[in-house]
Amino acid sequence: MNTTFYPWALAVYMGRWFHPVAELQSPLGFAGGAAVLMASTWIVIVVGDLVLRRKGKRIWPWLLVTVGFGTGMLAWPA
Amino acid sequence: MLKKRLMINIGTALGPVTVVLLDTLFVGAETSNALVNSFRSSGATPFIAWTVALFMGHWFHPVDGLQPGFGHVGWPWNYVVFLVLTVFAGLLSFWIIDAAAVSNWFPTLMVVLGYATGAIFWPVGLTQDAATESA
Repeated sequence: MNTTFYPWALAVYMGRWFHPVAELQSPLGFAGGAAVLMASTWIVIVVGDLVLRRKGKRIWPWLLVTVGFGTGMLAWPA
Repeated sequence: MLKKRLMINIGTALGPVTVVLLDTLFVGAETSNALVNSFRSSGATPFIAWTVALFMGHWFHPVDGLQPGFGHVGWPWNYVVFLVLTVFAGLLSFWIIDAAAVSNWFPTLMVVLGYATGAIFWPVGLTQDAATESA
């Protein structure tokens, strides 16, 4: 349960659904936004859960929430 | 041949990436927009945004060992505060504010306010020691 995935994924979906601009389109395009989102998700989980935790460190949850919210808005807006 | 650790990394991250991929491929932008627009027109979006953000502030607040109300608001008054604010957010969403007029920015504002309220009045009691032990 102690994983970066939950704050990251929740924040991404929050940015996706609750962005401030109606009919917002990703500047990266549909395919580009999805690719960036999947790549960033993979990086967050690998770096946060596997690399840093082995060293006794972790990513701050509020930072994941903030960056995830912005990523959801820009890369994957609904 | 890839190293075992790299294989584990790839496998661990494969699940969430698959979720995103499936959503992208099978839900699509148009369907998602229709769903969100139906929420927006009902006024449910700001309240859902508030509720989810409240839990995110509860779980993912910035400071380990944070006390409700910065130590000045004890139980049960912290519960009273955020429950009253939640009811108020519901009233604003469904009754008071016209969803069509503020659908652009109101849900985003509810995310920010809900996150702050959850973090300040309902922070989960995670200490740095517990975080280190479970890491």
